[in-house]
Formats: sequence, C-alpha cells, structure tokens
Amino acid sequence: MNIDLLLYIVLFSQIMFLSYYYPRRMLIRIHTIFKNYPPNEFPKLYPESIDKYKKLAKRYQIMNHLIIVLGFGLIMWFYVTPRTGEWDQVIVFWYFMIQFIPNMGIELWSRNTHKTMRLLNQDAQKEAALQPRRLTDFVSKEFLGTVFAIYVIFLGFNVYINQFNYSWYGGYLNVLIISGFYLFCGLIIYKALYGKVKNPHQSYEDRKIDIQTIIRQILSIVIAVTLYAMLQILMKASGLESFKAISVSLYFHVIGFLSMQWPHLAFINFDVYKDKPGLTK
Amino acid sequence: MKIIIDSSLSSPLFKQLMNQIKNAVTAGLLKPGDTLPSIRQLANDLELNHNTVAKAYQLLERDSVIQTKGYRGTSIHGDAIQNSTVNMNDSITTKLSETIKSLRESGATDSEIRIAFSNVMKNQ
Repeated sequence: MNIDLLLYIVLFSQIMFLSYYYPRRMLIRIHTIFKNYPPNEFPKLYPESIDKYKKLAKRYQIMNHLIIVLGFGLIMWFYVTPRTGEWDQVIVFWYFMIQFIPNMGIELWSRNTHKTMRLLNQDAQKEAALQPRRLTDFVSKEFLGTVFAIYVIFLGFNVYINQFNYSWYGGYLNVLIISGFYLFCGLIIYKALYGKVKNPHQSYEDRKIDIQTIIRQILSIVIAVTLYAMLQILMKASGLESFKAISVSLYFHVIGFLSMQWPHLAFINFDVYKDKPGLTK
Repeated sequence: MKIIIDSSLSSPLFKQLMNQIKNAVTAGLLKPGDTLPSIRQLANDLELNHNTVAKAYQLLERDSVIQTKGYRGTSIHGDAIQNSTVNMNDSITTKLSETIKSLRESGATDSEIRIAFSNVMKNQ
C-alpha cells in the first residue's frame, strides 16, 4: 500500500477517534449526569447554574467539530501538496496538540467547578480514613515491575544504539528526557495519592477509585511513551522514517484510548451531592 | 476506620484528633503496630493545616500512644492501650494542686506563688 494513502487513512482515523468518538462519549457522560442528577435534587453537584455547564458542553462540541473540519483540510493539504515527508510527523504532532485543547478545557472546567465547590462548602465536618495510602493499594506489584522493566530495557536499548555512533542519535539525552518524564509522572502520582482533596463532597470510596484510575492511566502512558521512544529510534536506524508520521498518529490513538478509562457513572455515589446526607454506599 | 473532625465545636482540632485516635485504641479499632497515615496525607484529607496534625501526632508520641520510626512511618505504640487512658491535663492539674497546697501550708501567699511560677516558666 502506498505510504501516503496509509497516512491519510491513519490520520482520518485519528480525526474521527479523537475529535468525534472521544468527545461524543464525553458529552454522553455529561448529558447523562445532567439528566439523571438534576440541580433540584443534587444541588451540590452544580455550584453554578446548570445553564453555564450546558453552554460549556456546547462549546466543547463546537470546538471539536471545527477541529474535525481542520483535520479534513489537513488531509486535503497533504494530498495536493508535494512533500518530502520530513515535516509530516511534526504536522501530525501539532494537529494532535490542537485536538487536545478542548479536553484541556474540560479539565480546567472540572478544576474550576471543584474550586467553587470548596468555596461554597459550609460543612464543618471533615472525615478521613485512618489508614495510610500506598501505591501498591492501587496498582499491582506486577504492573509496577513491568514499568521498571521497560525502563531498564530502554536504558539497555540506548547503550546498544550508542555503539553505532549515528550522527543523528541524541545519545544519553534520550535517557535524560525519558527519566525526566518518569519523574514528572511520579510527581503526578504522588499528588494523586497524597495531595489535597479537590472535590469536598466526593466520598472516600469514589476518591480511591479516582486515584486508582489516574495512577493506572499515568503508568500506562509511561509505558507507551517509552516504547514509542524506542520505536522512533529503531525506525530512524532502519531507514523507515517515511512511516514516522503514521507511527506518531497510531501512538496518539493509544494515548486517546488510555485517557478514556473513566469510572462508570453507576458506580459513583451521587448521594453526597444532595442537600441532606443520603444513603452512602 | 474513619476519623471525623468538626470545626464548629469549641474543642481545638488537634485535641479532637488526639481524642479520636485514643478512643479508637481503647475501643480496639486500632491495635499496637497498626500504621497511621502520614501527617501530609491526614492534613490534606481533613483539609487541615499540617501543623495541626503535626501537633496532634507530637503529643500522641509524647504520651506513648503512637511512635514514629523514620521512613517506616507512624504506628500505634505497643503500650498504647494503657497509655491512652492517661490524661496529661489531669496529671498536670493533680501535681500542681499538690504543690500549691504544700506551698500554702508552708505560709506562701497566692501572689508569691504566682510570681515564682511565672519566673520559673520564663527561665526554663
């Protein structure tokens, strides 16, 4: 199959997966919450007017539609423009960054909502579990072992590649970058485990589920990034650079899939958002 | 086991923490050797200042209800059950009462006792 045709197919898939399917799932989730947990019964869930949240959801939808149009325009541009392929990977990467913007908006929306919840929370009582939280409470030792093993393989891989003295090879700078990324992800995990309570109404059981989801997602992304870094070096060494744009697009599919592991709404305790304490799980 | 603090009560927050941990020990909900969350974890979960939790832990350690072993964290002391029933304030009040009674019997006035107490507190 022609490499360009493959790129168009994979890029089309990236557009539809990350700017159509993913936002559609997100919006279904948001509208289900609006419908099943309305403000009159669950006032603490809506620190501001529900109309504001509906507008934000609409804005999210429109942004993704515009990004889909941009993506189709990008494919057309790839088709009609004579290219050498060197910049394809960069363009695909920056298109993904644009696709990511509406989801950053959702994250900011969530943080602002929690902040407003904290400001409005007049509950004088606070509760906490008297057990220490440990990383192994949320993720298996085997999973952690896998992450460590992949890091060691990455180190060994760089030592192996270094002996060929490729002019383009960044050497141990790759190790520094990946190690820095591991540290950064470690900080995110640490903050998830021991950081401040974001949602003052969330039950402790739901918070534990959130912590587990975050940790598993981060560790999966760490594995994906490390494997992808090795793949990129291998492709360059093997003269398969023409496939780089395709591989980066497929990599973003993986990242998108890993980001979609949300807890099912049926398992979340929404009673905590009622005015009076309801039954807890 | 959960701990609940109430900022609307007149009792200081660190006292509420201390009392609940001591009550949990005497009720058998916390046993010698059980580990407690770190100061950071508990402070963030209860949305308290770290110093409040640190003070509670410090006083519990003074009373030998908990013990801290560096990186291994904080755990319930081996003698926590009997130590949890000891009330430091009651103990201080009893000793002070005996001392004041003895000083009065030896002829010291309340004013002299108060001045001497204040000087001793300043110098120590």
